[in-house]
Amino acid sequence: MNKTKKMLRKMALLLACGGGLLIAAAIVFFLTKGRFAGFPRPDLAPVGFAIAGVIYVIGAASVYLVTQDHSALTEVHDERAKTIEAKSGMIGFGVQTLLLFTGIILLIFTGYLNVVSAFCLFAVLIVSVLVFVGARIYFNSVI
Amino acid sequence: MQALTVCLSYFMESKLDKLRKQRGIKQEDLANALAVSRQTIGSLENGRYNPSIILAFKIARYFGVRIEDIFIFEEEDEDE
Repeated sequence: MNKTKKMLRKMALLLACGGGLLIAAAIVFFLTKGRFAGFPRPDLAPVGFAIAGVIYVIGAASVYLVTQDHSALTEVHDERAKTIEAKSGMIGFGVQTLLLFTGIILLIFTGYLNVVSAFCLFAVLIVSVLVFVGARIYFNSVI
Repeated sequence: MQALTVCLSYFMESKLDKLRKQRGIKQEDLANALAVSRQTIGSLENGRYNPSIILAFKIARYFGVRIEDIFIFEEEDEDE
């Protein structure tokens, strides 16, 4: 249980740092009016970064609060709960990958997606699939 | 030549419910002692979930009995 607590606290710290960086970037872009970044919408960029940063910080707080609550920590460790999470995650990941791929292709060929957005979304898709494959290889060797 | 396929299905029964009630232990207390959720104890008792070997050992040790006294495992052979 202590190992899990430490891992969750590290995750919370990582999320908080990420959120802090995004909020700091939002403040910099707001003060400099996005002059140095070259965004197509310099008025909206600080808002986007701030929203992403706040979500990360809220995520960090939620993860940290789990470590303070004994019953929530038990749920994290519970083998039945882990099995349910794993099975649900697999189904969710499969559906998400399929829909994202379909959505991107349709948006490209109906002209709603520009080059930057398309490459960004494809990168998200490819990175998540690579992480899945890498994790499978890793767990195959250790389990 | 007839292919012989042995199809194994299994039957697992849990006496956890009976044992827990005999000792007057609540599901929540048992769950806390084993560091699992109360829902897991409920699922173990009604046979919806089979425990891992580690959890089975923990349960057996908690009650001071053997694993086989709590969880009954039977294989059913079918020849096709």
